[in-house]
Amino acid sequence: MATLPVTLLFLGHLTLGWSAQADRPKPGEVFVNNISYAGTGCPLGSVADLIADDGGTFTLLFDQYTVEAGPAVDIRKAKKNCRIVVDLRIPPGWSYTVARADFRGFANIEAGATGEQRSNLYFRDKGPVLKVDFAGPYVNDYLVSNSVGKGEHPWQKCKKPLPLTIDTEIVVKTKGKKRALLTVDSADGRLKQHYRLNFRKCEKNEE
Amino acid sequence: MKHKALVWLGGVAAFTAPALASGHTFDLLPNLGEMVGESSLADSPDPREVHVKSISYAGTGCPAGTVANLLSDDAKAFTLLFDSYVAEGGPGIPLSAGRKNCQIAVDMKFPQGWSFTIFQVDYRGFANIDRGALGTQKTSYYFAGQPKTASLESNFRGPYSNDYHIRDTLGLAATVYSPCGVNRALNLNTQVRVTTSGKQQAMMALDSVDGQLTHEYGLQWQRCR
Repeated sequence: MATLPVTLLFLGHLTLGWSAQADRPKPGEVFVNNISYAGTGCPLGSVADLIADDGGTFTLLFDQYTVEAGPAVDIRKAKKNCRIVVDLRIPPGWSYTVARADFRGFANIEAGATGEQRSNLYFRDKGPVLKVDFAGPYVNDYLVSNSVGKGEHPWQKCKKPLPLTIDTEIVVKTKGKKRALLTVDSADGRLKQHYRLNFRKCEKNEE
Repeated sequence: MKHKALVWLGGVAAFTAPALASGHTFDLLPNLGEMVGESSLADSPDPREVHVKSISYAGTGCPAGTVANLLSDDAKAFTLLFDSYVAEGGPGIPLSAGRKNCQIAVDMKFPQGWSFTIFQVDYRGFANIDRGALGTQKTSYYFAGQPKTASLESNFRGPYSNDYHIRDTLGLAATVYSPCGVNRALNLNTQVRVTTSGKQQAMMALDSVDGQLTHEYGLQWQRCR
């Protein structure tokens, strides 16, 4: 191979120049401290969760977040929910946080049946619910992204930061012999700290 | 950073299942240009090299307590073995039985630098598909926090009754995977699915997933800001 000498040259360079980088939250940046969850779609022991070392992203994976409807299927299986509460560490002062969540799953909806995925991210007051409809016939994976913070500037309380709450729900509706299946396989969250816009500084005695 | 699913070089794909439809080599990255280099091996994780820190998984095909998992000593390979990762379809079988998934979050440590990693994933299982029915094995790959998703899918058209082996090969570059020192888990949402009608029957069973990392050095530069 004619290019091998070049490669070896760079190998040597790399070995000398390598720096070990720690993957920790950066000072002054928002990060995820802890995640808790509850709901019929995410009972205890049915979820795997992962927080990135720098606290900038988190992932929840679900065993049982599946709804189904059709002949001989228990009606209680047609609707499930999961509330995710993300405990954040936010530097006080001149910034706001934008949080985004990606929900991935699968839908198998027969003609005449419907499915719906709802999500709502908020810090303090419940904002608008994002509803995504699946009208049968539909058989495919899906990805739904939702966010909070853009244009809303939800200021964190200065001493006690509010957690990020993510409410999710999936529902299927059928008639007669029609069948429908809808799942949430995973929820991924990403946080970003924003500066510069609408500066507001915490007062000394402000909660 | 823009991600594109591209075929990276030739000759790294391997399929053994005769029913495979599509190519199984791809890249989550923009074109990396010329890649040259030697892979290096070690018995224990080398902090200067990419390695797996941990694996998390969940899904309807791998509920808690139904999986055995193993991480190699050098932290460059892992194996998951499944007890009950089976999708089946047929008369009287509910839709939920026709699709099972197991999502695997692979938390890797990617040192910064001019590195390129081949991530090879082997799927082994068994399919029994009636004539006219369809079995599907699919995996969606994405990095935590990023909506961009790449998928690879194989279809088994009945009649088919045999073991199968599917190999996906991914190219990962440190500049994307670990942009300026921040590591993001690589997610593999694996699924098996059957499509039947009338009296047709079908089943797909995934027995194991093996992942393996090979580190290569290439020529690529990106300045951190």
